[in-house]
Amino acid sequence: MRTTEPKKTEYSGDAPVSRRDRILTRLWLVLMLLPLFAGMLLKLFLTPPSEGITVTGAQIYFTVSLPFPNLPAPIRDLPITEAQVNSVLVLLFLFFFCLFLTQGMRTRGKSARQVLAEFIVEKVEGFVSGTMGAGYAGFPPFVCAILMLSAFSSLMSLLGLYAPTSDINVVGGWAILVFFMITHYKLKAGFGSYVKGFLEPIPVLAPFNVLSEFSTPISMAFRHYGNVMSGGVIATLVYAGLAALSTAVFGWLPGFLGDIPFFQIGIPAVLSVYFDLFSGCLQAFIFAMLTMLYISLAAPEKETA
Amino acid sequence: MTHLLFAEGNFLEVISVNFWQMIISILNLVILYLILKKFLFKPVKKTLAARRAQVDELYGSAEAAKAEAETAREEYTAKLDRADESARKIVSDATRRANERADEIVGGAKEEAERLRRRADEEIAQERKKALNEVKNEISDISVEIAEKVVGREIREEDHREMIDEFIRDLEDGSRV
Amino acid sequence: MELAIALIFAACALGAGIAMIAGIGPAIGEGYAVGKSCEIIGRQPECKGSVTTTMLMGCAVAETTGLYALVIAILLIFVAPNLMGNKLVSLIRDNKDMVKELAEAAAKKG
Repeated sequence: MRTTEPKKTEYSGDAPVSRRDRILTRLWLVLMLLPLFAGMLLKLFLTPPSEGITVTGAQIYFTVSLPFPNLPAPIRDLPITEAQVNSVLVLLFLFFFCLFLTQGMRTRGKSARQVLAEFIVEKVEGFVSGTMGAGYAGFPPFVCAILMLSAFSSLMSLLGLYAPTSDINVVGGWAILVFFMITHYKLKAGFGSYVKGFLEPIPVLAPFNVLSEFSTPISMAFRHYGNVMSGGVIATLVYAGLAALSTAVFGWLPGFLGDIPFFQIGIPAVLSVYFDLFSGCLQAFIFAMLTMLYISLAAPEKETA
Repeated sequence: MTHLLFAEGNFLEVISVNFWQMIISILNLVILYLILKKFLFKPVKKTLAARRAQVDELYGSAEAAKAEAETAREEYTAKLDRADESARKIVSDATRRANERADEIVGGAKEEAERLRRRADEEIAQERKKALNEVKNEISDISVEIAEKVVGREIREEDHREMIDEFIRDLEDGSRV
Repeated sequence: MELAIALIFAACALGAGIAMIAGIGPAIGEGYAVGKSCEIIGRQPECKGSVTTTMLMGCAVAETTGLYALVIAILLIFVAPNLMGNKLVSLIRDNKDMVKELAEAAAKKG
């Protein structure tokens, strides 16, 4: 009786991990952690020393003056702040993270990184098709981009860096992009039906409908930004309070020992579990989910053949 | 406790809206979307598709092998049946032929025996007739001699042939009775 | 001028405090939602995971108005005095002569 051998494709699991794969994996791992260290070093060296604490926005590193002389100052200047730098660092981190996860993938004999990569892709695709229904095949990368950028930007505050999502410009930019996408999908059904949608129950309510249309991105942005920023503000305040408390309690210790804020060790970590981990990830998830919901609501009804 | 520094070191306000920074953040998102599409989703989907193709191929070849095995088995069973049948047919043919031959031989033997018996019968009848004729002649000669002696003269054979034949005819009738 | 600056700071602080009254709404709503979900979990323990996830998501969306209030309060505490103080300073600098006149008139009166 004839037996047919299965064709050995290039992803066969019988081959051992090649040396090139191993070297490249370690390279991506190192390159992945490099931006985080760079950010921490930047923050360490470029933060000016200050008495007490300040609750401010991002620190401006330098200002680029764009060559539009006729525009007023707020539009002409481009301040390069911590938020932008940290955004770029998160971008680099995620880029090398992707390369790290997909290095040397094979059909059988998976490594843990490949399991994680497949888990991410399958979960996001299930998420998208569960919320939006079928027919949105281009959306999983976009939703994954929002999720990962949001989550990792908020999680940067665990490392002591300034989280980019504490800046209204960053989150507002994403919200405006989502708003444009929603409008684009609504216009796909025709411009007439878009305008008619505003006059829906009673024409008198048209201004309120327009207002609610604009309030969609504003609410999304403020929800995300408010949670993360308030977490940052409360963390700063708690730090200051604990420093003052430890000075009051331990101030009698001689020399520099009296200056060490003992109470700042450990207690803020507990708070940051809620504010950074839980709140940041939850808000990222909700931002992505609301994006998907609004877009699937705005898109014209798919004709079922 | 919290000093509100009109800060040295340049800081943005806590909430300040800046136009170009929004554009930059939108660009960041778009760049990340392209990165993820090309470097995470495409390779993973390719691997998943390759794995699915491999599994399908394995299943397909397993199904084909099973179907092949089924047809081969049927073929061999049919062959075995046919062999059995032809063997039986051969045996029955041979038996029949042997029986026919035996019948033929026995019949021939019987016929031969019959023929011999008939010939023997015929020969016996012929011999009997011959013997009877000889006896007839003998008797006629002896009777002639006796008569000659009795009568005392020579008898010619022809005169007495009738008398003798009549005499033998009486003998035969008497013997036949 | 110190009175003006003090007035600005006082108004901002008061405004921030009044704005945070809006924190009552989300608290009551989310407490009610959590209570309902606990009831449902008590009735059907096997749907605990799904109910918890849905409840958390609903709470995060309902938090929005409270966050609007928080953002306004933070604006008032940390941004407005700076802005208002700067505006006042620039106003005074621009109209130095008028301010000088006013100061002389006040000194002459009292």
